[in-house]
Amino acid sequence: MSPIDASSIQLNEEGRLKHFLTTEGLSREILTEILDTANSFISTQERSVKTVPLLRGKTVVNLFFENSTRTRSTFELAAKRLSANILNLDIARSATSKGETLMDTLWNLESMYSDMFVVRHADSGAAHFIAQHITPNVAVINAGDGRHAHPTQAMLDMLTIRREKGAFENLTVAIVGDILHSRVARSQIYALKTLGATDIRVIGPNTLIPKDIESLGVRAFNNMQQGLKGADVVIMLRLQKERMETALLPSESEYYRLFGLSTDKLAYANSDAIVMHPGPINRGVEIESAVADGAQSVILKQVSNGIPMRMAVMAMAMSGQTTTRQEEV
Amino acid sequence: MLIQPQNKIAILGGHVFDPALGLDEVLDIFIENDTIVALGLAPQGFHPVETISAKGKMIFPGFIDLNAFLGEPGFNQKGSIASETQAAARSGITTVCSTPNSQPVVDSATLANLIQDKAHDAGYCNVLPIGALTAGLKGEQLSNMYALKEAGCIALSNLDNPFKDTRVAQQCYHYAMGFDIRVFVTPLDTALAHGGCMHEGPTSTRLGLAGTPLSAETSSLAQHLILCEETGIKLHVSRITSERALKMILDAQQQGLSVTADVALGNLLFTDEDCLAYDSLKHVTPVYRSESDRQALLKAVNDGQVSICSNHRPHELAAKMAPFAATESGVSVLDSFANALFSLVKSQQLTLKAAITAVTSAPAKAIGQNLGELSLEKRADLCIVDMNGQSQVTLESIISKGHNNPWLEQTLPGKVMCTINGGHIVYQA
Repeated sequence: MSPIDASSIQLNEEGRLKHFLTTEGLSREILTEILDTANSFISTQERSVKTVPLLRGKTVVNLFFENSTRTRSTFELAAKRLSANILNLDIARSATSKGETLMDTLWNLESMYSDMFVVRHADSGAAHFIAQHITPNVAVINAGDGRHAHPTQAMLDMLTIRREKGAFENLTVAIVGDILHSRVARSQIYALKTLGATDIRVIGPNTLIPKDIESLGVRAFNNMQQGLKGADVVIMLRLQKERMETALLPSESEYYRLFGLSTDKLAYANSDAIVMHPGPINRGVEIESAVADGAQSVILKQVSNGIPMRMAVMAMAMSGQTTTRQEEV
Repeated sequence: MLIQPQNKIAILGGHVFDPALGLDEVLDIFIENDTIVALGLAPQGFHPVETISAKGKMIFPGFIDLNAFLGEPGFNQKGSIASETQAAARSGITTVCSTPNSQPVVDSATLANLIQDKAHDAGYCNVLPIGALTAGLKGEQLSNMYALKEAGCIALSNLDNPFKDTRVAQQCYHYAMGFDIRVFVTPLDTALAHGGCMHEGPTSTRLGLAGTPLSAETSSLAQHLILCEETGIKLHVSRITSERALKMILDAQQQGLSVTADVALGNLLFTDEDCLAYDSLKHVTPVYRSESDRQALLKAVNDGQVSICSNHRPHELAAKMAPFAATESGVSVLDSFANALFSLVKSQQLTLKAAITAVTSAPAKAIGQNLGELSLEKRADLCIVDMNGQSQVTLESIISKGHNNPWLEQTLPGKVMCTINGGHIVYQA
């Protein structure tokens, strides 16, 4: 019994991106193309006129079923810099709270002839579900679904790593913290594996590491000294404060003592290791201020890579949709 | 259904297969009213009203399903007793044990009677209700257990609902034991399950879905087995999912406990990996577990250790149109129960003998009913099957109101040609 590949629905007949739902299952060529495209947009961001006309006349709908100011703003800005019309729908506070189902919401939006949905939802698989059930020719970009995937964040992290470290081969990458609830970690792991990183590690207490994580091709550590040894890239994850209340952790102080990235612990990694964090940062909970603001930190570079990465993915998915449409005519 | 007082049927030339009786030969069957009156030679002066040629077909005892949700009362959009029992009849099922989670819950004699009356009026299947073990299935107060038993409930169960605490379960068992009431339990520690919607393992990690660990089943099962030992109750463990749970049940049987078990048909066909594409038709309760669990459960069926139930949960389309975890769990099975079972025989994962035993004599024994055998003077419940035929599953062809049939657009082996329930033809292909 071979299950349908959850990743295959994001490619069109020519194998080009038409949705962007997960980094899992995408080829090295596609991931590299995404990185190259984003890289080319970086230069446009430094110009005084920052817009390019790639999505002129297209309507992008930001469908955020879960609150997020930061990610939504970067998608909005990215769409505007591609010259698209953008509609922000804060559904967390509107229709679905009045009992409208997800399907009803989607059908309503489809009737408005949108070209692209950027979706954030608390349920894993929500973006897949939407991509499977909307009319053809509407691209779906996953802006985070439950614990499953956050592929644009992972790809902007890959872009940052590539710009700092050059190639992915022979890189040792450590991801530290709440792996269990992290859609970012899952998307990073798949992207890193496909791009050729040789040694991917996750570090955290057992209660925050999902069962059978080794099946994703990573090694798990409960100890920063062992886990960070020889690391070229250290990715810290945000710790949600409510984790203490659900019997996953004893206290912030014990967590910080064991897994918080302090200057001492960073010294276990290679001396030229870079420090990353998808944000927002909890200073003193998962990372020491001196490290977050220190010379090895590339956290702000990650933020500035966010817009070109989202521009790249939106442009590629829209172009994949356009190809499909022309074929149908 | 039309009552025919002088009902005489002759079924000629069929290959009669009843593992419990060791029957495996071509025999004619003669039915008068609701009873099998002869096997082999016709009784003297027998003039059938109806003669069925079963040449080249197999004849099995009518199948018994230990766990099906019929949707009535309260869930008209999901199913009715008439629609779901008709779907069952099409799968050769003649006896259905209905679950108590209707609205209102089957925690009173009135409800238990209503269900049996409706089933009788519909006429497709013999429906034996499973009553609620606690009032409203809330797990807090004892239900009117004796009244439920008197009204025809063959067992009581709290189904997938947790007990408020272990003492409530213990007291339910103590009370039930005094009246020789059988209890069905589906072990699940809801705290350990922690909202899990699939098996906890590599696939749940990949999909980012909350997983139900094995310990959620086994730690709860251990508790129920201890209470079974303490109270001496007849316990039927319904819908086990794992090799470990199976072993615990076999050990308990070895110790002399009165414990039986069944497995849902889907757990013999699917594993956690089938959830990979976020297919909401694989979102079920209890969950599909690993391939090694599936293999262990298949072996248990082949060894005659467990029965097979449908775990039929029909839903309207909208219930399955959402992201995986947000959908209602369960699949509509009854239309395809026999064919999906035969697919396991055809692929040599189950022997025919084991498959038929697991849906006839084994479940009859588990509920202490004199059913599931093709012998003289017994109730004429049987089905006639073309094992070389096949059945196409399409939305138009399914009888269940549930659109959530996991075999839609597939062709499955075998074709039930005729189902006879209590001497009446209730389905004909």
